[in-house]
Amino acid sequence: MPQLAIETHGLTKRFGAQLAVDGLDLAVPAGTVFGFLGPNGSGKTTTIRMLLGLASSTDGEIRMLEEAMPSAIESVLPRVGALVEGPAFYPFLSGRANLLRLDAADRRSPLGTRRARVDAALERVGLTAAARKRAHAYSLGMKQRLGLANALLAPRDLLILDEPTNGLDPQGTREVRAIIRSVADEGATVFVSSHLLSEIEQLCSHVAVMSRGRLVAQGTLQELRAQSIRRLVVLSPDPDAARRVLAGLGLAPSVRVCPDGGAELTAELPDPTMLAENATRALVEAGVRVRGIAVAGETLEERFVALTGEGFDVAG
Amino acid sequence: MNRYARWIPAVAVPALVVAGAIAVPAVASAAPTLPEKSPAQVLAMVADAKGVSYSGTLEQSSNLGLPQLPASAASPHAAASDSTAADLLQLLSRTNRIRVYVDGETKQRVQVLDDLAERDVVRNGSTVWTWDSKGRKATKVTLPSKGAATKSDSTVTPASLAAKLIAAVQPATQLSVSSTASIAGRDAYQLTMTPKTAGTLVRDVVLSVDAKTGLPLQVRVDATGQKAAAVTVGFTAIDYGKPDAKLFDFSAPSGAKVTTKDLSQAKRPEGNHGAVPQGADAARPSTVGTGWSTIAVLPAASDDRSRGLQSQKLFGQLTQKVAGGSAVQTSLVSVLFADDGRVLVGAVPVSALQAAAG
Amino acid sequence: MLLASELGTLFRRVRTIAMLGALALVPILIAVAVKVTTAGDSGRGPAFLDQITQNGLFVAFTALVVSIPLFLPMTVGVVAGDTIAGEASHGTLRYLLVAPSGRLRLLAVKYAGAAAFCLAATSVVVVSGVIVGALLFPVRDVTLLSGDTIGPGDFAIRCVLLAGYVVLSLLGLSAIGLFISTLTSVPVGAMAATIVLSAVSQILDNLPQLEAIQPYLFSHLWLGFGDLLRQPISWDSYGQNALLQLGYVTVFGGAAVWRFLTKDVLS
Repeated sequence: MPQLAIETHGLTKRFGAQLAVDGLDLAVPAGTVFGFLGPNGSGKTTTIRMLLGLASSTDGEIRMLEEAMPSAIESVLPRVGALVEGPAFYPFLSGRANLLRLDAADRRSPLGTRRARVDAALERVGLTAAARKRAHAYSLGMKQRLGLANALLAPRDLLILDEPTNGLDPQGTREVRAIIRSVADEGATVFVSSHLLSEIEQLCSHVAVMSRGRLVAQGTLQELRAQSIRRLVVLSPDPDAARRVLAGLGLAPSVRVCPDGGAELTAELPDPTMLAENATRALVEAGVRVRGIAVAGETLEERFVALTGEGFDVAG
Repeated sequence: MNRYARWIPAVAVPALVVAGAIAVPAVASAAPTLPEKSPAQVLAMVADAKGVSYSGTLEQSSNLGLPQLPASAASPHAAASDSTAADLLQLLSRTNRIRVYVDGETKQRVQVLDDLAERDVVRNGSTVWTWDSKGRKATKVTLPSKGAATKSDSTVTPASLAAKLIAAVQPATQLSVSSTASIAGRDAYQLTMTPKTAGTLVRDVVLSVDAKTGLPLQVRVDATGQKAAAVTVGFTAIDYGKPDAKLFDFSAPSGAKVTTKDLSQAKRPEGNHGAVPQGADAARPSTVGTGWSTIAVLPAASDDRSRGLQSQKLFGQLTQKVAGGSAVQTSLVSVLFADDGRVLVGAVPVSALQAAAG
Repeated sequence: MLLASELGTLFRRVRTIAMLGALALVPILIAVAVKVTTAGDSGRGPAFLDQITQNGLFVAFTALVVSIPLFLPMTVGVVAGDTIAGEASHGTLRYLLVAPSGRLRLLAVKYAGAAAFCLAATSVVVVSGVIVGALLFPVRDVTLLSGDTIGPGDFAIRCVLLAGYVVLSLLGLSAIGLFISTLTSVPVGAMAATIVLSAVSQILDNLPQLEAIQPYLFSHLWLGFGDLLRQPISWDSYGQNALLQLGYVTVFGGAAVWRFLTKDVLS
């Protein structure tokens, strides 16, 4: 049993009659980059607010960094860097002054190293040049990086990042990913929420999927890929014969007639042990002409659509 | 449950504040136990309490059932002709704070503490200053040096003075030392004077006397048919230390309008108790009845002062038309402005005044 | 340290500086207006206004009297109403809490900041008044309400006491503002509600029909500082005001604590 950086049992949040989060059992292994995926409004941010003690849970338990939350909030949160629902700053203060103030809010953060740590965090996100500009003059991307700098003010054991690449250009997105990887390389656990599958696929080793307040899948990306359904695709000018053969194997192919007179037959392979070569032999033995045959794995995206019943913005 | 437990102080503290605000004054007024005294003994204590030095704060409040007027109507910005009446009304209808400083019989200072204003009377020996901060007006009065009249009184002992007083009020008044009270933190005897007649609006007069010094600490007048005291004047704090001598060392500040009156050489008219304004004889009031239900009848004024009074706006607000004139009915005193110009005043119902006016 | 940061943030803010500047203008405008129209001694107008020409030290006092019903409650309402709601609307409230600041500590620091503003606002009026009064008018001994005269040094002590009284008077309002501020994430709403409450309290204090509740209104003793201009000083209203304001701070501070500790920060 690996150590868990975040662990929830039956975590529930109710707003009036609406269940925003319903019986969540999260298990985030320490040292991983963990993706928290779900469409907008699926309860990701509410979950993060409960993890950080901003909102109270209606029911359930939370353990973070091996301590119960929110009762151990004072000892847990200094070890946690967070970016919650977008960056937020005092528009009338410079980027640097904003970080100094947020660092001062933590009673345990040492005053002696404050300036050095703030400068290092600004350096790390590439904002040193803009450090003295007022925050209201920052672009969205700069604010996002300043928010990341705030999460990195002190050495953290856990980073909770809510949509960290939101509003960034491709270059900024790459930079943020590089920062997250470097933090993970230092041994910290990174918990990244996103509504973008591509984001999660590129960053994370583990993933949990939210849909309408419930957790619909959780595990490593490989495990999720392995669960996905494979399909047999046969291209043949003899669609009726081909369908009979496939049906004889217990498959239920759908047929799409192509403009050239041929047809494309697609059938789910229900059993992973059922090999495509068996189908090939059967087709050939039945004298069915075959133009092409392939096994297509379901994409992760299709898998998640199946899980959540909703589409993802793949392009972002 | 732990999460709920930490909110307990947040709820409990305000609850305690409110409870404290209600309970503390109730606890503070527990009655003391003092050796019993007769009315004569209590009055003798009062008469004996001359030459005491003290400083204190008094509060005077009235509950006369006068119509309430907004503060603006009683402000000095009101029309000039209304201001005197308004001042009087303010004195009667508002709670007034008064500070007194007394160093023996010759040095006294009284301050009426108004909002951002003050009226003072300072006596130092034979010099009396009055001061009104609103108009920055000061008056200096030089008193006559102590005459024979006060000298002759010095043979009167407190006990005999008390006996005289009691003999004077006894026919019309029931005297009793009813209960003991605590006024301004001092144990006090309460001398209750109850009128024997039912024809007066006064239910009783309660005089509270400091049990140690004999100083009257509070006078309360109760009216019939009203639970709250009609008039109360009493100390809220008192200190029997000698006041700072500088307090009596008053002189008019620069820029003040100073009036000087010298009474030291003034002739005292025979049988008169001080300086009475000229022309007062013409309007000398007569009385009807005796004791508590005495009615004072002021003859019609020769000038049209009263007509001027009646034309004022305040007059209309305060009085109501009755048979034979206009009347002001308070819980303690009634005034009848008769149509023939006479003014009748007494601690009796208006009907008694109407009967007296004939 | 959070307190130092709070004070730094509050007093470096343009809005705060502008409000303090506006308050500094009050005695300056009064003094200049009196200087320009000094020809006719009308003897009317607010208490003490006519005394300014004789003594510049009264400028500070008159400015305080003028500022108490409106200008001071307005600026204090802005700062106190902004305390929590302002952070919530910036979104910085969640980052302060995640830092973690501790909710009780943050609330205490926010209240201390509002109280510091009360002190700064009052001091600005007094100091600006003393300076402009000394520049435009003669400075001489001061006549108190009681008619006694004291020197400028004694008057300076009384000015400090006076400023203390005014600050004390504003603490209850600050606590009310803090509480309202925990109810919303719209700072303008909290500010307006606080300012409106201060006006309502003053109006109720002037309706004779409500005499029974008037001693419990937080603005009831706002103008009671006249007691500091008597000889000797009457401490009655100082003590009563302290008790009254303490009651408001306890009740509304308690309500703010209760509300803020249980609040879901969703902004």
